[in-house]
Amino acid sequence: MGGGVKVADEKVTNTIRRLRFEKSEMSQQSLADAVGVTRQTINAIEAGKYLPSLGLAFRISRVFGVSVEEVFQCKDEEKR
Amino acid sequence: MSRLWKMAWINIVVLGIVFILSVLLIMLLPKPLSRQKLTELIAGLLSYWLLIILGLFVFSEVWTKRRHNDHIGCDERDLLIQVRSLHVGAWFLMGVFLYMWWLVVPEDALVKLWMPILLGSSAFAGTIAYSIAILFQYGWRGKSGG
Repeated sequence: MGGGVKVADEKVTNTIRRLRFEKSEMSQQSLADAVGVTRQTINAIEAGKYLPSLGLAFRISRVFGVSVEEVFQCKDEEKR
Repeated sequence: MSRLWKMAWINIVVLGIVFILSVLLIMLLPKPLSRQKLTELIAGLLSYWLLIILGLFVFSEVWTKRRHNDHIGCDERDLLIQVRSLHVGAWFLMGVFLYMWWLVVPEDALVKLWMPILLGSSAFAGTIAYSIAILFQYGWRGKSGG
């Protein structure tokens, strides 16, 4: 699991790195080309330094053939 | 490294060289220079600065948006960083312009002489602030996916 981006009180993490390796060790560049962004953006998303737009999140999940929730997870930082 | 990150470094290096060369030129001129002559010289130099800054922005727009080997050159994250940095640059541009207008420009100033100085110096400050804001968001060495 990659790093996480903190949004308000919630931390968003993702499983892109694991999904890439499960999909025949797909490279960051191949994923970037498939969803129409730069390799650096995929790297930043994986590292949890950038939270993608909803559209990009859907495009990434479609490449892996899974739901958005399987790619991105949102965890509460503290119980409310 | 992202093209926007590279462009920010190009901006800083080019404007740094232009600034140093301009200072050297003024220092190497035969002295003494009258205040009027010095103002005319600075106004002339800053007019060239404006052209260089304009050229850098045109080159940046063409280069960052261009596709290369079917790889995209600029995406939603780059645009977000660019817009945020443009805000920072615009505030600096306006701040320096107003500071110069109120505190540096004399009351009997000639518009023809002082307008290039006002525009050139504020555009210079705005471009440097814009480029630093880009590098800050990507990381100075581009480690944050720059």
